[in-house]
Order: sequence, then C-alpha cells, then structure tokens
Amino acid sequence: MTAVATTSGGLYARQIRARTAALLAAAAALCLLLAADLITGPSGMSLADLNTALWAGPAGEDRAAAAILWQIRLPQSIMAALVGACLGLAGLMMQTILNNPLASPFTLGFSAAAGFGAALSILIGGLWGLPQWLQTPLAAFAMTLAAAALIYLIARLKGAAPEVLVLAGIAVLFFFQSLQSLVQFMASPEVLQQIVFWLFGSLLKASWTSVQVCGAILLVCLPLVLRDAWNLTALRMGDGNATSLGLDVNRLRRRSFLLVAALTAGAVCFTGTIGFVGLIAPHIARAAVGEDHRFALPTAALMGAVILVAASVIGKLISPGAVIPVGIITAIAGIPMLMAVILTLKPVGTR
Amino acid sequence: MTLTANLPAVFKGRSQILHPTEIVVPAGQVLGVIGPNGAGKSTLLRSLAGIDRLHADWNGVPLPRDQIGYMPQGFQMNARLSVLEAVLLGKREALGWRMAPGDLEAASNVLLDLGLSHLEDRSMDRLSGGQQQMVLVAQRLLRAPRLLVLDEPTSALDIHHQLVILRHLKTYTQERPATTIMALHDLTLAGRFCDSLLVLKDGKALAFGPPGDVMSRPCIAECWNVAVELMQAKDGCPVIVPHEHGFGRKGA
Repeated sequence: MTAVATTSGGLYARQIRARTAALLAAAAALCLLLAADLITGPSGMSLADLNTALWAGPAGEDRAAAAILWQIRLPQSIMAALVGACLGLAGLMMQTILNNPLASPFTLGFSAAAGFGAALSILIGGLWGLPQWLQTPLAAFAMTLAAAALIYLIARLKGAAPEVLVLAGIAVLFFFQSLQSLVQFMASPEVLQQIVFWLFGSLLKASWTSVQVCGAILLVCLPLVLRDAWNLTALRMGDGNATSLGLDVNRLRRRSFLLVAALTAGAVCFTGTIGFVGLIAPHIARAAVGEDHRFALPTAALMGAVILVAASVIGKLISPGAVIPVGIITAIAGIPMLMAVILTLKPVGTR
Repeated sequence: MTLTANLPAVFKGRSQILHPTEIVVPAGQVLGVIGPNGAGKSTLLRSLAGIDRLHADWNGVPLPRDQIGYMPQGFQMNARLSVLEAVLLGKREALGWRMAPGDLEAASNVLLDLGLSHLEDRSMDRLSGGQQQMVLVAQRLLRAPRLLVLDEPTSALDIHHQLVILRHLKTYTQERPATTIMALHDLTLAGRFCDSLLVLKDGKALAFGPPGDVMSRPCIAECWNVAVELMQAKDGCPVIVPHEHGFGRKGA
C-alpha cells in the first residue's frame, strides 16, 4: 500500500515539475521576446547597443539611443507585456467562471464600453482642463467599470449563473456598441479617424504613466486572483459539485467578475481593444499545464504577455515605417494559433 | 451516536414537493431512499445535506458543514484535471499553495481502496461517465465525513463497480462510524446493502424500516405502480424480478 502511494506521489511530483518547467519556459520566452522587441524598430539597434543603453539609464551619454530606448521602446514593450498578462489572466478567469471556452475578457461587452468611453471623450474634447491623453483612458476606464457595475447588479438580483451573466453581458455589449456607433456617426471625419485609431488597439499610446497604472492594477489584482486558485479549480468540477464542497459559487463568480473588469479596464484604457489575446492565451495555458489554476493562472498571464510582445515584434517587422497596430496583428494571427492549439497540444503529465 | 434530521416542507412554486420528514439513523448504518421518479428523493437529500440550511444533528449537536459529504446527481465533467487532483479537491478548504504530502497520500489511498489507482494520472475529461462517478465518490470519501449523502452514486456503474462502491461505502460507514444516506433505483441492490429503507412517494414517506419489512408486493405496487415477483435469496435478502407486462395495472 505504501509502495503504491509512494509511486503515485512520484507521479504527481513529476507532473508538478513538468508544469513548473512549462511556466519557466514561458517566462524565458517572454524575456527573449522582450529583448527582440527592444531591438526592432524604425531605427535599428543591435543587442550590444541595447545592453549599453539599458545600463546607461535614461540619462545615458548617447542621447539618441537613450531617448529611443527609454522614452519610446521600453514603455511600449513593458506595456505590451502588462496588457497581455492582464488580458490572459482575465480571459482564463472568464472562461472558468462562465464555463465556456469561447469566453474572453470582451465577451461581456467590456471592450464596447471602453470604446464608447474613449469615443465620447475624443468627440467632446478636453473637459475640466484635463489633457486628452489622460482624459480618454479615464473615460474608457470609467465606462468599463460602469458596464461591469450594470452586469454585477443584475447578477446580484438574479444570481450569478453563467447564463445570467452572458445574457446581461450581451445586452450591455449591444447597448454600448450602438452608443459607440452613434458617437462615430456624429463625429467629423478628423475626429472619426482618431476614434478609429483608438479602437484599433495600438501600443503607440504607451507611456511610463500607462505602464505604472496598468502595472499597479495587475499587481493589486494578481494576489487576489491567485488566492482563489483552488476555488476556481473546484468550479471546474461543475456548480453542483463545487457547492457540495462548501464553495459559494455565486460569490466566487461575482468576485472574479469584478477582478476581470478591473484587469480588462486597466489593459484596454490606454491601448484600446486588443482582441484574441484573452481568448487564446487561456487555451494555450490549459493545454500546456492543465486546469490546476495554481499553474493555469500564471501560465495564462505569461502566455498573454508572450503573444502580445510577439505581435508587437511582428508588427514592427512587417512595415518598419508605419508600425501596424498590434490589435490587428493579434486578430489576424489569432485564429490559426487557436486552431493549432486546439488540434495539437495536450496537458503535460496526463494521459 | 444517532443522526437526527427534521426536514421541513419544501415547495416549488405552489406545489409541495416534500412534506415534513423526520429521519433518525444510528451511526454505522446505511439508509436507502427509494421511490419513483419525481418522488422528492433529490430534494430530501439536498435538504439533508444542508446546502441551503442545516437540519441534521448528532445526538442533538448540530453537524459541522465539513462533516457532511454530499454528492449531487448528474455530472459530466470536461475539466482538464488529473483524477488525483479531482479527488484532492475533496479537501478544498484545507488546500494551500503548497500541497501537503499527507493530503496527496490520503487521496492516493482512497483511489487504491476503490480500485482506481490505474486512473490516477488520467485527465477527467477522458473518463467515461461511470469512471467520473467513482472519482466523485472518492472525492467525498477524502473528506472523511460523518454524514454521507449520495444521490444515486451507482447510476452509471456496471454490476462489478456497483458492488465495489457499495461494499466500500458500507465498510466506511461501519468503521468511521458514519451515517450514509443514499438514493438508489435498483431495489435489489438497495435491499442488499442498506440497513433500512425509506420509501418516498409524492414527497411523503410511505414506509420506513428494514428492507425485508418494507419491500412487499403491495408496497411496491402502490409506490411504482408495477407488478413484480418478490423472491428471497438464500440469506433472506429480498430480490425483485419484474414482470414483462407488469406496469400500469395497480396491484396486478
């Protein structure tokens, strides 16, 4: 009896080691891609130059290299990683709480709400003396939280079953989409162009401020999300079973939903909507490490970051002159990636 | 030690699906709840398990929630979790960021006891319905509850695994000692493994007692509206053999 127990312990330990290895591999891939992202751009930069400029700091002797690296590329690269991580994490939580592999952070209309907020802000221009670069993200953020509050209220009244959340979310999605269309219809051609550019989702809007805000949101949310890792895993056993294990599934859903809203709002308010990252990253994570959320959550966050940084590199390589917005790259590359994931990968350590 | 539960009436809309019922079962015994579809068996078990409110107590002391192992009916899991992980979730409240080796071993031993060790590293979404059902039983047993409430724990199992699971549940009940209350559809199995039976129809207890007393042709005819042949195995256990055309004629 003990002999069997020991071998099975060994089996589980091997599974854990394989998952940790997968997690580390994703982290390593992210580091490599970040370096690749930093050396690509309209004006070239070698790895050696990058190294020098990084160590020299923002006030380095080579003024041009310092400005390019510290003012433009570094915030953009870090922002790509942060936004990707937020969306990957939010995507996995959404798929788990809605028990639906098609769910993403945008399923419940958060992107439409953010888009409406941004469009409205661009249309009416500066208010209360706020600069436009600050007012638009603020409006997008606020509108996302308003949409979340609306859905949360319905979940409070009707119970947080997946069907209720999805139906309320779809209603919110169409509501904000029509409002956004209305704003676009009312806008002049120049303003319309700005709105469309915002909606594309691009890292060009990144700055150290956006990095700080997005990073702070991720830093606050991550421990709260990870604290529920076992509960989210238990939810995968089905509502009835999770309830019988003493879990309040309604409260877990509402709590997770608010975290998803905060993560998504933080991710999209500066860069605009970047699709498919939040859909694909969770699939890769689940396929790679299974659904023990202690591993799946960090892996989804890392994979989201990997995908978005990779998209940023590709965007810069395709047209060095005019960088293609990452939102477009992820949307185009997303579908074949999703197909490949569904068809090939299986979790390590299980058969 | 005796388990006592005073279950209140349950209404769904205007129709009453469960009348107030008192259940008294000594520790170490298995109570089978039998009755036709829609008799209120699942409602009774839910109420007993205290999903919404606790009603059960041991010798007058309310039973803590973590001492109740309730397994609902109906399951179809597509979770990418290994069987071992799924069983470990039985200790959900106690699981931390790092896995305690004791928990791992306990989960492994439950699987061993049920003869499921070969499935340990299989993914849940690749198991058959019957295998998933056995994993859920293992998950409940890992909690080592004093009250086990199981809603048709063997509905998807073949005869071999029905015997394995029910035999193990009975042993567990006697050794812990715990009280096990389960809904069953197979009357012969219920007669074989339960110490007493509660016959439920239209939300009302029709009969209660040892299987030999409860299972009579009139009772079965009244409850399920079928005609059966009631025989006895060599050890006195009731065996039910249905007639081919024995339905729809009350008391036929």
